[in-house]
Amino acid sequence: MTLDLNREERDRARTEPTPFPPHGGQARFEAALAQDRVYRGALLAAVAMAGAAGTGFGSIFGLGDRVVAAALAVGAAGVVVVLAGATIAWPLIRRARFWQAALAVGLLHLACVLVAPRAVEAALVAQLAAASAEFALLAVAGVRWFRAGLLRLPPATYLRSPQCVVARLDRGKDFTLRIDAVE
Amino acid sequence: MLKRSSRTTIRWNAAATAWLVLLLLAGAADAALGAGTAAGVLIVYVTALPIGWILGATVLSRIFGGGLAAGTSGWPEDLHALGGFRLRVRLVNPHRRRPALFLTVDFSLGWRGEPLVAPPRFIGVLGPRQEVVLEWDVVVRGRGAYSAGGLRVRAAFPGSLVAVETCFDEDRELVALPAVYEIDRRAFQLLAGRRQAAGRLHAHPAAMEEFTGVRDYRPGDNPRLVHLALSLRMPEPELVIREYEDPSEDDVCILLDTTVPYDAQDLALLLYRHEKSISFALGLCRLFATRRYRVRFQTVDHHGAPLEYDLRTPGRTLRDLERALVGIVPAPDRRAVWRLVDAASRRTNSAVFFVSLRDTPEERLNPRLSVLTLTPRHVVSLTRRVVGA
Repeated sequence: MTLDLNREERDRARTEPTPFPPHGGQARFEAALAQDRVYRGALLAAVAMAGAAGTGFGSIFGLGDRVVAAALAVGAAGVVVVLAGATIAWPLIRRARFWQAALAVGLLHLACVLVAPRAVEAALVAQLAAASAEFALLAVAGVRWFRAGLLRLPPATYLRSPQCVVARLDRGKDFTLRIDAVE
Repeated sequence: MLKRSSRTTIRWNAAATAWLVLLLLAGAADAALGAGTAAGVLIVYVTALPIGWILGATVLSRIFGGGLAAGTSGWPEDLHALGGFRLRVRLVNPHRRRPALFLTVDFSLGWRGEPLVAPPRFIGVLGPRQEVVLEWDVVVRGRGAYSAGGLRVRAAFPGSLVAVETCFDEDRELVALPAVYEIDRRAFQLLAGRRQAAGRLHAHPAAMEEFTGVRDYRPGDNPRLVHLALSLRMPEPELVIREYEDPSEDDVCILLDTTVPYDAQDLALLLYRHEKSISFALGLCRLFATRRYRVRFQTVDHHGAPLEYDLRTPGRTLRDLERALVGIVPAPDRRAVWRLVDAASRRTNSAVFFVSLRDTPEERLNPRLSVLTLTPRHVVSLTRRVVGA
């Protein structure tokens, strides 16, 4: 007995491995954080506050005139924020690296300790208040980061053993077991 | 049915521990070097905040992490390869006032000793006396036994030093029977002329009858069949008669080729065809048995020993056959299956189908009138649908 195969049947008889769908969890996570204004705003505000506190709120410039000192402090804080954000914090924020960004905020804040210890003594209460505010902002950002981190969880898992051969007609190699989470 | 946890374990969070150690070292260094200064106070304060968070998170995880109850449902009674099922997990917080926080739920399913952890599901808050139902779709594509590794609920507040892990053991094994192939009705054309072509090869039909056993005498039985010696040995006076069966009553005999030499160049292809041929042969058996043909299935196991199943009672023995083929692995010795083919071609006058793994029809090499070789091409063309694929 002879049975001729048509083209479709010949195609089905091929043995091709099944392509695994890409996970993409990290991309979803980063995309979610990139669109999260609260996360970015909280981190940038924490960086700004740390930058201002890191300059001793302008007092490290040692100028006598308070008006000029205040203006310089604001200007210096802005410069520091821009520089810090451009060089340290922003890439970390963009790459959704919360812990490194938080560490950068802490180091930025404590810069004044190294540069001008006396500036800390002059405004210790303000420094402590700024540190508390930074911590609160980081906590807000951390909660958003944690929530977005759930997107990194895989929607499905596969078990593919080296000798996984299943009885499909059109594929020779396949995964043995697949589990999908039902939302 | 809900059940309490089998065991609760505490897992350390290495990252949080490293952060805590770093912060403690920074605080300690500051306390040693800059004690009493404003800078020292600032550093201690800055380090104390995250330390407090970590310790608080650890306490929250420890308090609001355990004491849950869970139950699973949806495990299938009947599972075939390339099929699946939906597993439901019911998670209950039985506490009156205490919520459960930051829960991650998953379970594991293993195949041949390889566990697969399901994608975890997150539950932020499970209030007191509340329950939640989580679902997973499980697709099983390889035949064989699967072992359920149990449910795992992990509670960890972000930044916590520990994670409270609650396990609910599931002592269950799933058996994935071979995939279900729906065979095209054209397969009946294979029978055309087969039985007549074989003919009755034996000179004495009575000699074809095979002794199958003994049973109690029933009125109407042939007295010639009484087993006198055994009847005399019975504890109570009763007659025992011999029972015979005639193999030539079979309509269809399906032989499955399971021989795959381990040193074959196309080993992967043969293994793939081996998987398909099992399902295809079962599909043929199912097709002919549902049409009330008398079907006999024969193959050889890994050691070359013959396996034979008579499918005269389709509802029961087809399932037995499926279960027997769950664990069948290729046999390296090809001579065993040839002995099987020879015996089948000589013994019966039924249509003999030899489901081969090779492209070349074996009947051209070693012609037998009653044997029709079904090659992998036939498997493709005669299979109408693979259920679940």
